[in-house]
Amino acid sequence: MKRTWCERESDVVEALRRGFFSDELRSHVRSCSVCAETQPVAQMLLQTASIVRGEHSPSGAGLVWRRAQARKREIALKRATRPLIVMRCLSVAYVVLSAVWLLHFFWRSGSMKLISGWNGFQSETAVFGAAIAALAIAIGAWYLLHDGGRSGAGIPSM
Amino acid sequence: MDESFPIAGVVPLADREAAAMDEQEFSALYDATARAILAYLTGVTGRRDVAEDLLQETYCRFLVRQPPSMDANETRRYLFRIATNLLRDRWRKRDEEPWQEVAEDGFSVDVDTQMDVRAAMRALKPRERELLWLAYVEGMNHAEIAAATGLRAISVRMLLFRARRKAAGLLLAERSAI
Repeated sequence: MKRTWCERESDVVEALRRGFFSDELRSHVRSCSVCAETQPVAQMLLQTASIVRGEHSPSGAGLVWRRAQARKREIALKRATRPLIVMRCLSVAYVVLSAVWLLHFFWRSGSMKLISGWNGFQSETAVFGAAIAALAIAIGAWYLLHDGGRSGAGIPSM
Repeated sequence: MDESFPIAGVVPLADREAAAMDEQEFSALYDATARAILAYLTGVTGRRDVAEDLLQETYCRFLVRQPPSMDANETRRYLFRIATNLLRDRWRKRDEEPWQEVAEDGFSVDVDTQMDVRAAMRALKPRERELLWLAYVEGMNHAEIAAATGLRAISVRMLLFRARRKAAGLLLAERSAI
C-alpha cells in the first residue's frame, strides 16, 4: 500500500526552518518518498511565508476592535427593535382579520337586518373582539418580556 | 505557547457579558496571532487586499461571537477556522479566483524559484493551498488541521497527501523545464 504520510515530515520541516539537515535526516529523505516530496513543497511554502510576513503587517488591533464594537452595537440594536417589529406585524394582522370578519358579517346580514338586530350583533362582536384583542396583547406581551429579557442581557457593554 | 486568552463564556448571556474580552486582552491576542493569520490568508489567496479584508472580518466575527474560554492553541485554531470559512464563502460566491502575485516587487529569492512558486501556487486548488500551508507553515498535525478546516482527520491525511504530491510534481516539472 502506498504511504500517505511519514512521522518524520515535521522533522524535515523543522530542518528547513533551521536551515540545517543532519546526515541521518538527509539519508532518510533520500529513502522516503513522502519526505522527498515534503522537502521541496515545504521549502516553497516557507519561502512564501517569510516574504509575506516580512513585507506585510496587519492593520492595528484598535481598528479591528472598533469595527467589532460597531458590529456588536448594530446587532444589539436589531435585537432590541425586533419586538417592535413583531408588535407591528401583530397589529396589522389584527386589523386585517377584523376587517375581513366585519365585511363577512355585513355580507351575511344585510344592512336592514343589522340595524334591527343591533343588540345581538353588539354583544357577539364585543366578546369576539375582546377575545382577539386579549390574545394579541398576550402574545405581544409574552414576546416583549421574553425577548426583551434576552436582548437586555445580550447587549454588550460599550 | 503557554499563555491563555480569557474569552467569554457562550452559555448564559449574562456570564458571557461578564467574561467578555476587553480591548487590552484583545490587543494581546491580536499581536500574538494576526501576523500568522494574515500570512495564511495572503498565501492562500495570493492577494494582499483580500487577505487584509478577511483578516479584519475574522477578528470581528471572533469578537462578536465570543466563544467559550479556550487556551492559546485552541484560540489560534478557532481563528484559523473562521478565516478558512471566510475563504470558502468567498470562493463559493465568486468561483475560484486565480492565485496572484504575493510579492510583485519584493520577491527576494532568485528568479527561477520565483517562477516555480508562482506556477505551483496558481496550479493548486484553494483547498490544497490551505492544507499545505497549515501543515508546513503553521506546523499543524492532521487533527489540528481538521479542527481548523472542519474536515475529518482521515480526510485531511488523504487530501494532504494528494496536494503534496501535486505540488511536488508541479515544482519538479517547472524545474526540469527551466
